Amino acid sequence: MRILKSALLMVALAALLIAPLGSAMAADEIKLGTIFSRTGPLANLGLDSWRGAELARIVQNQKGGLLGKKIVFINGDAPNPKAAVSETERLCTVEKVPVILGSFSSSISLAASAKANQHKVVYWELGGVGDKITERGLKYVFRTCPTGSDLGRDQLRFALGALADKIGKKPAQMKVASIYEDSAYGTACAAGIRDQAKKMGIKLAVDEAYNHKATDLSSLVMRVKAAKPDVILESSYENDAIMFFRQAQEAGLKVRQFVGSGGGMNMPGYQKALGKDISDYVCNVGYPGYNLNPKYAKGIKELEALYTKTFGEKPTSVFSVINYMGTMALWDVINRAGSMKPEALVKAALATDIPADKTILRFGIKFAGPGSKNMGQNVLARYFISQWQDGKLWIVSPAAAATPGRSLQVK
Amino acid sequence: MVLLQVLINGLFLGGVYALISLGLTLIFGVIRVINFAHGEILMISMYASFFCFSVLGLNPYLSLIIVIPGMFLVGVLVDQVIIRPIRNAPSYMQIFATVGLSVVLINLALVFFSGDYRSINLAFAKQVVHMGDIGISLSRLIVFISAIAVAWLVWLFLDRTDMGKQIRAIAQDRDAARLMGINPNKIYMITFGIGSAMVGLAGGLIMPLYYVFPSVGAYFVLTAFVVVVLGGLGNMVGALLGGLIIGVIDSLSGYYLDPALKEMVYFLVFLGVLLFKPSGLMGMIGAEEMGLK
Repeated sequence: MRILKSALLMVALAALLIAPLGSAMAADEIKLGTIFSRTGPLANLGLDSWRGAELARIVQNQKGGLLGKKIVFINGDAPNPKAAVSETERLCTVEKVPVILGSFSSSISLAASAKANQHKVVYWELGGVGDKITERGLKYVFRTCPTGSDLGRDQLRFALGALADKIGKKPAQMKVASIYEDSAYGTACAAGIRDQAKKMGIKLAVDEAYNHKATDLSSLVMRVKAAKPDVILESSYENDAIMFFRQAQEAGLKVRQFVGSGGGMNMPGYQKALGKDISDYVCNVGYPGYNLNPKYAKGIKELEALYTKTFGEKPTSVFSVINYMGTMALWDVINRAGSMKPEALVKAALATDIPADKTILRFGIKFAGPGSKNMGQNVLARYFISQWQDGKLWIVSPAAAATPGRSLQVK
Repeated sequence: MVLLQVLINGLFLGGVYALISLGLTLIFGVIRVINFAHGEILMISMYASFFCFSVLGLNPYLSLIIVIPGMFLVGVLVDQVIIRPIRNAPSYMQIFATVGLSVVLINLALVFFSGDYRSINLAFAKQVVHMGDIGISLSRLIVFISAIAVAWLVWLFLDRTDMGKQIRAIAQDRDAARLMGINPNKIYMITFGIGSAMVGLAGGLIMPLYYVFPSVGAYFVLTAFVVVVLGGLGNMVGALLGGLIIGVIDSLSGYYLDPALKEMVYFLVFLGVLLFKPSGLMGMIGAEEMGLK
């Protein structure tokens, strides 16, 4: 009995000694949650997206952290939307984090951000593009990256801007065809193109949907051919993109350029199937990677070196860059908020106005305010244009951002 | 001129549908095995053609001499392993078994070949002969002519040869055929093999035009069933005609109506035909019920 008593006493004493130590440690830290697919079908790009946020954390901690404290991530794993909800629940109620960063996949982001919003936890979306994420009027949800319909907007902006210049036509003379697969992805892009066309007072020569599982696209090809467009804006998955291009070749449909919106048109399989035919002929709107011009994206080479040093391999995709940039913007918000209280964070976020030259990707950050259709969306976000040349994708627009030695080509 | 080009596109597309459907006509239409793994047999033959090209460097048209006999063996194997034990079971058992086979084959393909889209970049596949404003793709022309030739040859085979007569006898009345000394197991096996070999031909010929991935069969197989039923069960000429009709409707409605509506149009036509002629365009009256238990 006596031994037990003294043992208990020892334990109690130890607990008394350690407890303040523990809380003192916690006081020196800012705990933030992350929600990414770390396992499951989306794990490759999910994890690479997280790495961008992780790099921003490392960089900021080297500068002394935030509000005098070190930043610590509590990493949630969301292989699917259902897991995203339960992991968000855990981060909000057990870990009690004030901010969650995510999440690469739109479906995971939609589920997780709604849950975080219920708990009045700020959800900071870095890479998911689904328009709906910021169209639900959720007060605590912010997104730093551009949206799905911004893909379409930037397709048309590029076609009538840099591309029209290169071809030597005025924007009003350009004949534009828009074709898209009819699921959520394609229709979002096409809606973006349509809105932008209305804003610019342009009439689209073709605006057609098709099913990406179709076994034949020759009638669509014929319709596009009849309209004689200068440029085709296309939102496709991989198989349909290959088929459209091949059937266009068969039918003798010639344009000055194809402008895709990522999807299947930036996949290696697309390049493999079509070979040199797409060289100088197919552009893509999308996230830029480490092949940006280092004079334009200042610090991109250093970031690549830090990535390689931290994770022991070369960047596996382009996604870490956009996630890094968005996370750095969050640090700016937290510094201005001066506390980790949700109301203070939201107020600081809505007051955000980071000028373009202060971010690595050179677009500014400013969120749509309450009352607007896309509250919490960074209205200054935009994509970059890359082009297939010699079997690889190179950044070609904006011209200053182009990979050194590369520029926009037309046939 | 545009109309002519659209019609040619439609006929060529119809040739693809017909070629894929002819094997199914034999299996589903004649010996009445409801083979939902038909699309996966197409998938296998496309992969076979792809690997003959990428590994052995064989031209896809040349590799047919390997792919066609290979697919005959695959068909025989499927018949003996999967279909034979349930030959006398109700027809829905065949549906379960072949749907199961289809799922297994798709997932095996995923394991071994991954989900990537693979295609053959062949210069010949892009060659187009121009006559005035009309462009004719040579590789599609080959598919079209093959469809007609295969339909005619198989019709001759069924109509004129002793084996063909045995096949038709088995289809009409298995017990009576057995009493006449026909070995049903052998006939079923050979018919399934021939049907699969025809799909092998289709896979090899369309590989230069399309791409292959594990679930590519699903894109074609529904259309193939429609073609077989539209043409009239078991009728080779009907399958050819059905394929061409679907192709032309697909092409015309895609161009003049809306590319998004073309499936709707040809399914409407299909429903219309079934409503007024349930046995299909060329089918015998009552053929739709014969042999199905």
